[in-house]
Amino acid sequence: MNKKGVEEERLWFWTFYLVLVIIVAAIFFRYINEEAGGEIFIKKYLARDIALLADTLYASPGDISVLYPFKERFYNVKIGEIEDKYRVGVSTIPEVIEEGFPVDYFYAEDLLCDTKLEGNFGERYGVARLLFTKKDNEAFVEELEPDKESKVIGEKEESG
Amino acid sequence: MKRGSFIITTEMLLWIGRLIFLIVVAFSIFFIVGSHVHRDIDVKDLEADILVTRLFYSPNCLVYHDGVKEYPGVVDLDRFKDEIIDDCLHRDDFSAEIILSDLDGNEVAKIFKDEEEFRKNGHIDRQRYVLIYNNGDLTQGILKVTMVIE
Repeated sequence: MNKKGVEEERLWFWTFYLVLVIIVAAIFFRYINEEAGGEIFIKKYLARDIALLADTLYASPGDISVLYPFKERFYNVKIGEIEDKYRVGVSTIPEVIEEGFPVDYFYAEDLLCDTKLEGNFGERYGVARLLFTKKDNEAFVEELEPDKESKVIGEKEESG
Repeated sequence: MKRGSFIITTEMLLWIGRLIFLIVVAFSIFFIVGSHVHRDIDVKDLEADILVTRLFYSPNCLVYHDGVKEYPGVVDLDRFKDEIIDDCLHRDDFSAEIILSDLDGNEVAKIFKDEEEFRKNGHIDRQRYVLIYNNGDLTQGILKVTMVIE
């Protein structure tokens, strides 16, 4: 190979190396941003908080309703069976399309209740408010319309 | 060996070294930064309290109910069964040993939720004073729950 060929080869190597460094840096900055911005922390917090709420709801000896408002309309929440286990899954709206529910937490389902807590909420615009109810040995959760002050941050693209 | 091909081989070796260096540096930074900024929320103690409370508050668990209303804090011996616990606290990563005893510490009844898993792991203990309903008789007792939440 002549000198020109060698130079060309080097140029390709350097380009490849530069692209690789940019990819690693981008992944790194995204990770730092998520951690430092508390996004992962908020998702973990929401998953645990809602799972504990489900546990508490089932512990109630009588009828009960609990309203759970979200500060930001940015999250998709799934309650019920996720991969054959009862969990609360939380993801951001763009994330759920690609990765499913990266953050989840277990709760203890009451199989002796006539209905179970389950549902996928805020899939399109992010969930604003959830109403948990236990009445006459039936447990259910429903999504309520947002109040006027709710702020839409994420929006999932329509598919199909 | 031609002079050109020798340069390429040396160059490749250098690049392998650079790639390894890049990977080592990237992983080191991820590890160091990750270990400092990673925050977890441990709610296991709170969960343990809620789940134990559920045992003697939820009408589907151990609570005595006379057909009209439930009596929170009163454990019905007829409901003190493994199957009831499996259904009313249905969770895969939760196992427990539940012992009902009188105030002198004599064991009245004992049940397990997923005994095999329970034997393998570390435990969280909770103890609550309860009333025991047994065929119309009410006696004072202690509900001791030793549980594993993975």
